[in-house]
Amino acid sequence: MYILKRIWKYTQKYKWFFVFALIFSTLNVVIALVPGKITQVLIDDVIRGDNISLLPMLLLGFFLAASIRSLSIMGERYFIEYFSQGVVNDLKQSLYDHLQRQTFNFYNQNKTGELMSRMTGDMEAIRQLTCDGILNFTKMFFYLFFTFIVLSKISLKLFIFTMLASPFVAFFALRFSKKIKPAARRVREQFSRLNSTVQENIIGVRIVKSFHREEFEMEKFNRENEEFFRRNFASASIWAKYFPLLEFFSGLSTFFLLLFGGMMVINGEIQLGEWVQFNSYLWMLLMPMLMLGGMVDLINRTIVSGERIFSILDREPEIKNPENPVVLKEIKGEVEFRNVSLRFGSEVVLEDISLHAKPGDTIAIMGATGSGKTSLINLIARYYDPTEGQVLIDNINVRELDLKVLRENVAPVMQDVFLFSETIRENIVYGVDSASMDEIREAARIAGAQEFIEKMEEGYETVVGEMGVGLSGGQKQRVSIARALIKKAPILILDDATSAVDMETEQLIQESLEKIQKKCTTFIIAHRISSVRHADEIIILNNGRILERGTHEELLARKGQYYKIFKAQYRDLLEDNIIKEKQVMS
Amino acid sequence: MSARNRYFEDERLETVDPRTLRRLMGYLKPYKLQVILALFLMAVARLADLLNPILIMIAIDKYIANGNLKGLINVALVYLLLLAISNIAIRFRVLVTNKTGHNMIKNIRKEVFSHIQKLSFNFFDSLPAGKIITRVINNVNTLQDLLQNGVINVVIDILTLFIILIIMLRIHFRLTLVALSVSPILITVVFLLKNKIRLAWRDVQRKGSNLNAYVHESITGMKVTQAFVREEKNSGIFRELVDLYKSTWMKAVMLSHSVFPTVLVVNSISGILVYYVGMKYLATGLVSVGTLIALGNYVWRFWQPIINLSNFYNQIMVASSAAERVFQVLDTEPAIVDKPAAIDLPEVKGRVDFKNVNFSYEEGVPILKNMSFTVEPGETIALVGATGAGKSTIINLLTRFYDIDSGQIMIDGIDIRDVTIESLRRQVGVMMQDSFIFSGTVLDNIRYGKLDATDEEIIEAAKTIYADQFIREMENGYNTELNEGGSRLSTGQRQLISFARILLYNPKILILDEATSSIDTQTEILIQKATDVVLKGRTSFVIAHRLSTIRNADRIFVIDDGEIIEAGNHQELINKRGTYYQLYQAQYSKVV
Repeated sequence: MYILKRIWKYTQKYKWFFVFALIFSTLNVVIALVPGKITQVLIDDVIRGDNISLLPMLLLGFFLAASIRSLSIMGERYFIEYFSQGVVNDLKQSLYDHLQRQTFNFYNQNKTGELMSRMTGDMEAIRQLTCDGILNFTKMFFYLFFTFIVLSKISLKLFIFTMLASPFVAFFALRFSKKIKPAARRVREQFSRLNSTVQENIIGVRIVKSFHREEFEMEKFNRENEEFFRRNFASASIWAKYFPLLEFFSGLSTFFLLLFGGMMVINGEIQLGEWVQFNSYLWMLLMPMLMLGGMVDLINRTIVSGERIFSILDREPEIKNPENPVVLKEIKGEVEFRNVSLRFGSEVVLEDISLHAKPGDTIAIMGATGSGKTSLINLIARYYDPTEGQVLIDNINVRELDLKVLRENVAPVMQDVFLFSETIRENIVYGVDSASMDEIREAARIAGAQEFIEKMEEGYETVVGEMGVGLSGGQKQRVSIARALIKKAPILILDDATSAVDMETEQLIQESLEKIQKKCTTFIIAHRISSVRHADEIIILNNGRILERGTHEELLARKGQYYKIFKAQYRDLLEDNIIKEKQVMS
Repeated sequence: MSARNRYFEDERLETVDPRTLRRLMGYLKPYKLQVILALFLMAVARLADLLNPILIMIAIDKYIANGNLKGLINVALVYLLLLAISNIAIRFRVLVTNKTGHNMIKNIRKEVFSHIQKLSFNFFDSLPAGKIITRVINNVNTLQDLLQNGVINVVIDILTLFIILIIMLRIHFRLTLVALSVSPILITVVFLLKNKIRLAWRDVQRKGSNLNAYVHESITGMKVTQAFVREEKNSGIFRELVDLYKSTWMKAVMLSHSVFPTVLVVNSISGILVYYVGMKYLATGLVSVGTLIALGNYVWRFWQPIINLSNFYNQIMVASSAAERVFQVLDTEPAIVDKPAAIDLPEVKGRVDFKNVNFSYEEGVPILKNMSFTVEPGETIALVGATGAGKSTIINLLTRFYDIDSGQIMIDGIDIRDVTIESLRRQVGVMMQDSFIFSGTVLDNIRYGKLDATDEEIIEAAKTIYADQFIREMENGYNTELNEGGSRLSTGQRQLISFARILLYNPKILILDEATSSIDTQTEILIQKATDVVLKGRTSFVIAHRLSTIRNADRIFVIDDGEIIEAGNHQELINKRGTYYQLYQAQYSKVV
């Protein structure tokens, strides 16, 4: 009920649409009773009572009733759809905006598919409830109420006879919706399993072919395909059982009406026309019974969906803008970590990290997978907040800066590159309000992306991303470097930014980057010695702690972990005679 | 390049082709008996149902009007009997049609999937994975509606119209004509409306999928959005998309809901005509009250099949474009097939010859130019050169993922086009740069190399290539579930798993495409060692990025623009001071 109440709040803005929908709906139901009444008068008064003068009026009544009812159906539909679309769109917008405020942590914990289903399936449940659900619910009562008023006045006894079969109809309708629900769910589950089997086969087609596993794949597919068939048929069998039952018991009402009503006419308790009128209202009595099952199911579903939506809307973003942010005219790019620790629950990610980068410094971070490199740089622009300690930019705690200003001054190239399904140009200017074509080209040039972009048929207007041209990992990385560079932010973060670029190109990118890096404070995460050796300070992380730090020369002299990495990467080279010769020569 | 679209662009759909439909109907043929049975059952049900108004007419005119109680009871019992018959028939009809329909779809889907397995790489190059998946799943499902219910319903609806017409004419000829005189109006209006409705819903569907695609991308790219402070702009785009969706929705929904009101009004006109004309006959005793009511009843039942038929037309429109896509896949011939007289490739020793091989993916853009070389059994060849020089192409050709334009590729002196693809690929193994991980356990993933491998064999293989340790460190060891793509593993770990896979496959000739991605140092060392293990004792081609691999190779082929420009071992090539020397210098000299 609580969830329904919360949904109700969203409807307040549109309540007049709902009121109008109800007015038209009432009109619709009341007018629906008219033709039956006209028929009764036709039979009892005009035909049997020979009062022919009433005929033109009655026939006009037929037409008017149909026309008015048509209009009220359209009116009812228009207002209720407008109502529900308004409500659902507002909900969608607040969910979308709320999602945009959630932190990185939130997205690590929640799968995209799960979040998507909030936006699609769950919203659809709410749409159905606020549209046909609410409409049918009120109509159910209207139909029962108005037909009862009219028919019980004619004969309460016959009304009760007619309703004899209704409890069965309601019972089976409820049971049906209860039974069909899990069956339908099983079909859906198997559908997605079948889907992912196909998907995996197609995406992995190169492996399938090179291992010559076509038959194995077909067996796998056939198993899922057979199971899909079985589940579909199981669901159809439930249909096959309940559908005729429902029809039969609905038909039973006609039987009772025919038998008892007929007897009452013979006994003179009611008029023939009244009996016909009963007959023509029968569907209005049965419909509520048939709808009952679906209605209960819909309400349950909406409550579940509503819970899922509100559980996200209720989640406060972990990182919020300070109430009175410190205003800085310009950020110079000094970055300091003071005894920073980061924990996720009991898991220690970073422990007591202190570092200091003067404007224009380059800090390199190395370490094994999971040592905390990315977590460290994620603290700078507050993608996460540290559990302990402080991160300062230009001597001000980042928590006191306006979040927007802070992030505008940090340009990241992230480890897992993401490009949007837009043109390359739009992807590069993603973070800036406007940029000239020259600026775009320049950023692409420094990022080593200019050449391959300009080789493409549509150049910078090529659509990339999920729905566009597939770029190689290295190409994507280069576009995302350009995207960061064009921001011209005082702080630049390169998180394993050239890992998928071949070594030759990497070298070129590095050279051109070094020229800009002089102007901004840079944090580099890399595995290759060649990428880090020119840094002002190299930090080796191990399990969230700083294991070693210093310049390339200092660290080599220490003969610690850095030296080990160096040896591993250049083992061959160090033994190489040519290089030795060269060293002798120089 | 195939169709691509962004969040604000719609996907295009094609139109109807009668040949496509005829071919589609061909799938019903094997189920002739079931279709006939379903038709029969449905006809029974429909007939039983259609007799109701007559019963009521008889009840009114013969028994109620005359006070014949016994007759009334009899009529009521007949009604009950018909009701039972009708619903029993319905029950079996639902079972039969569903079984047939789902079976048919299952088989079509199987046919498409099996066919796709046979298709060559050029097919997968031409169509993005997402679209292929849509064809196997969604497009085939769309056909189900038509094949399962559509065809049977249309026959029944036409039958129903006839039955009603016959009954009505028999009840009262002239009044029937009067009553149905309005039907042309209805038919015209409904058919016109239905077409608009279909287009409107299609619009809704497109706008909906654009909206969903946008949200999906927003969520996956959220970190970028936040880092680049684009939230407000995106919120605005979302609002626009939602509003657009709403207006297309309103249009479609209002159109859809105008059908019933149209029927109502037309029906009332028909009713007016019947009563108006009927009154005159009533006075002369040519017609009874029961007749009038029954006629009104039948007229009302006459409209539903007409609406159904207009739906059927829409169904055909949708199904035929789905069918077209499905057939397009089925009609794609596999580019690479076994020769009729293909033999099994005998146990390979490992000699590989390229003789004047020319190849291009697209006409006019040659990738390999007159390439010739010989590799002796057991040799390791490192392929070096810039991206696009043609290194990966050599892989694709040796395994017959593509066929060459001219020249010859031979293994142990046998042209690879003369042997069966299966026997060739069983002995020529490929390890791709992106190590594909299937959803399933680690064991399953390694076992892909040898389906009947025991767990012990698998663990042994993992140990040999140094993957055992990290696998054991995962929460369920070898039984840890991996997701498709293996996103929970690091790049290096994925490579190790695919090393184990290839080791079990145990090919005589191995082609290895080394990954370029940098890997943390510990894993890197493991991979170096693992590479040495898998290359040992077989002819191998390595697209090498790792210095150690290149140096350990027996020979290095430096490839530029589709030609081998230098060949020899590391020392020889260094001494030669040519392209290789320059590459080497550029990459490594800076360090020391």
